[in-house]
Amino acid sequence: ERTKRRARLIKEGSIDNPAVPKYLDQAIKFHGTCNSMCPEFECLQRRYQKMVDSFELVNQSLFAKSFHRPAAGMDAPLPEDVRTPKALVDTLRYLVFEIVMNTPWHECHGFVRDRTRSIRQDFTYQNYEGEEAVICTEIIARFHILALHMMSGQPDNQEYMELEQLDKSLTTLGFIYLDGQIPDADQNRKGFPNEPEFRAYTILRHLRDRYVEKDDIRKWPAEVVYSDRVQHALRIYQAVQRYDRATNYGFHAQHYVKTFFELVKSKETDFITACLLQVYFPEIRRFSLKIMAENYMKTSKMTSVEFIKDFLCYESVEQAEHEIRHYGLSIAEHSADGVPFFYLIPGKGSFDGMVAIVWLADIFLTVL
Amino acid sequence: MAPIFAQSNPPTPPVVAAWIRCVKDAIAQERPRLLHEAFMTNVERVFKRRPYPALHLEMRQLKHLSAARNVVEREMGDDWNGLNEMMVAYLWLMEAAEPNIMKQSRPGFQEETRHYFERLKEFMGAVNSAFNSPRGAIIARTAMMTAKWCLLVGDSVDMIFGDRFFKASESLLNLLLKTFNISVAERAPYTQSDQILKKTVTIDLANYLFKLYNKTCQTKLAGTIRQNLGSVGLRLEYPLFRNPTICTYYYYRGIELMRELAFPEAQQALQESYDVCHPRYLKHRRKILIPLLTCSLLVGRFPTYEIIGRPEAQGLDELFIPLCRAIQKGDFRGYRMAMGIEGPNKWKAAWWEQQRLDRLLMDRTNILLWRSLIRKIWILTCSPEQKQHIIRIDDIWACAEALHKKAPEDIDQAEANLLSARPGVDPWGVSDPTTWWFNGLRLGKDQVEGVVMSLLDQKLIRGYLVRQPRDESTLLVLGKVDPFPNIWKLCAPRETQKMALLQPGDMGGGRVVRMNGVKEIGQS
Repeated sequence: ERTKRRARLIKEGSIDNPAVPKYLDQAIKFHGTCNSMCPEFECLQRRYQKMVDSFELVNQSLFAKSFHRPAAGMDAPLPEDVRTPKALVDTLRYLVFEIVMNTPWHECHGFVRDRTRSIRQDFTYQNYEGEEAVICTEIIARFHILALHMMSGQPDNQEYMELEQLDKSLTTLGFIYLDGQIPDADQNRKGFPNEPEFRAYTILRHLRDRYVEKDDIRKWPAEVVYSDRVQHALRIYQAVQRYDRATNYGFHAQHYVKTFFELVKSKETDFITACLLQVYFPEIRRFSLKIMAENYMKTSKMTSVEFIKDFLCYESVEQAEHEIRHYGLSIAEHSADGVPFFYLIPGKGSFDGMVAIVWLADIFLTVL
Repeated sequence: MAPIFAQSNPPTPPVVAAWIRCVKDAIAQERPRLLHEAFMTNVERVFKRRPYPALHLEMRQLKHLSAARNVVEREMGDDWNGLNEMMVAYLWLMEAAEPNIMKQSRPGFQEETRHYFERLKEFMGAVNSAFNSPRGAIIARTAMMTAKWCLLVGDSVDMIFGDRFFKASESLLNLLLKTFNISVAERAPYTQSDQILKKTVTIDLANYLFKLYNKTCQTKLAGTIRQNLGSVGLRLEYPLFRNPTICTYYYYRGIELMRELAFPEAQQALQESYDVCHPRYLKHRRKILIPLLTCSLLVGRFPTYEIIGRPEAQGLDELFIPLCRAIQKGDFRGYRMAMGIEGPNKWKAAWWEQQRLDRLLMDRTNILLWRSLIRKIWILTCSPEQKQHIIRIDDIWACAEALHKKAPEDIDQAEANLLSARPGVDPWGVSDPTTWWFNGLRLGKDQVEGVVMSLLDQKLIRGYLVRQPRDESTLLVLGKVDPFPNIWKLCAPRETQKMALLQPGDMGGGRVVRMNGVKEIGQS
């Protein structure tokens, strides 16, 4: 049935014939025609294969199209398999207002991540860069950033995958924003009110890889580069510049760790930005502990864990202690004026930075 | 059998016939310069030199591309089809050429320029096809000069249409990359200046690509070009390559290294470029001097008055000298004035931004300012007789806080009022609108300690930190020997990577794995 439908659509000229090569500028523009959250064929297929998610059990109208990885040998989707931009917006609205806002994150996160990935995929099939694509991709990017915080410490948290999807969303937005700068026939340029926000996220996603020094930021409009959000992101970027000791690259980096944490606490850092920055805390703290181990007096007993906890903004002294020991450093007990405290025993060569640490956050306190 | 003439197959016009004879002679006698004269593309020169105006008129009379093709094929035969196509494309280019393109004296020059540019790109494509032939070495000079002219016209088109995305220039990237790849793929070694080889124009083509990449913000792609150049093995010296070519190559290399924050190597490359650049070309020397001075001061080499006094450095003393003084003294206020952030000379901020040096300087000189400030405190508070040289972090903090204070006219009163009226806006109390530190972040002692940690870790200061009990100030204990090492000695480039593309003795076309008994290409 689908084979016949595909042949008919090819004959009508609605879709390209994959067996006939042609130039890109002669390709037929693909438009999705599905107006529901899930194409009919997939609903039937998933029912038959018993691949219905718990959020979709109530009735078929709650089915949302899942992400399908394009694979060699698979046919290209038909127009009826791809949702229209309006249907994609409705699907995202449903996911956010009905699922995310009414369900604990750890229960719905996997489902929503998969379905939002499918939404972006449908926009990509149609090569659609209209307003709906921008709004949906922006919301999806925010979802990924929030998930980095909300899912941290959960057993099935996959930070790397979350960051990968976030990067893809930001890349898509970057291209759309760039294309929007090219004026149309009437010399009008598209305006994106949230562009400064997402450009700031892009800078923060490249916090320690010399992104700003490369060329991309030159292509952004001046009003975006000089916006408060982007300028704040640049200040954060400045505060934790990376330097590679063994090479000739990256001289005179600032790397002011305490300043970095102060910037995170500042009023310019909103909640979502803080969720994104949280991803870098383990790496920055690891680097700082190494510096402390090498540059504080070896025989001093005054490099207290309490100081380290305040300096590197740990949640608690116990968390600081845990990380210090994790990296191979030692702690001893001392007292001053009858008050006991723990202190770091500095020393070069004792730091072991090869062992990665998982961001423990809430679960750490729960265990204690 | 006599040819049958028609509109699509007209008799050969006399000037076209003479031109074709000229091309044939140049090929037969292996005279690349003469061949290039036959394929002149510079519109200004073309309409001033005989017989090109007549050639242009004859092409206008021929009208059709097919007619030109038939004429060329009839006269040239099918010995070298690539060259035939190149000749046809050139004649078609001549048909579109207009002196108005450069003079812009009549209306309609915009569309004429664009039309000419499209034909020029087609001609460049045809040049690539002919250049790719085994006999293509003779076209090397033509390929190089046509590429250069393409760049100029593309630039013109972008300017005429006010295109800040440089779409016309960007459309040349693939074409010129193909030309470059063709020249690089040649296996014969380039060892003498009178050789007729494709490699004679490799560096020029690379320079054009670097220029385009810089213009279109795609400098990431320059790395591939450098890699390919490295594998070819070319001696970057006169007379194999002209001095302007060498100068341009080193200039772009320096800019690339500067963007990658490899300041010592960047300084070396820019110095090489500056040394090669002829003293008469003041504009070019100035263009090289500005990033050179920047890289130099970042590696601790401040310009002498002799350099700043040179003709090409006119006006640069006003910009660089205050900056150098501020960095030398650790004067944060002087630094802000030199960068145009504070004070009456706000035009300086626009100048640094125009040179694309503002962010680089602000990001990478801050820590040098801290180092100089601490050094100044050390000089003022420590004496050589002391056993240990100790500086209190509190003292550093007090000085830095004073140097970061904003003048009353620079304070954002609305912001200050908001913070005092609604303290909940800043729950952690980290904001301070009266300070320049990170645009309004309160500068605390812990932050100063963090800065000192960074200085110690990067070996800009030798010493260690000692925390004290209770609220006493943390101490910075400086090393007994040279606590403030010379920046230039710290940053001195390693000897492992040389600037030249080639090591002595390496003469072949591409890297060949040495096997026993096998000679390298070009080795006698």
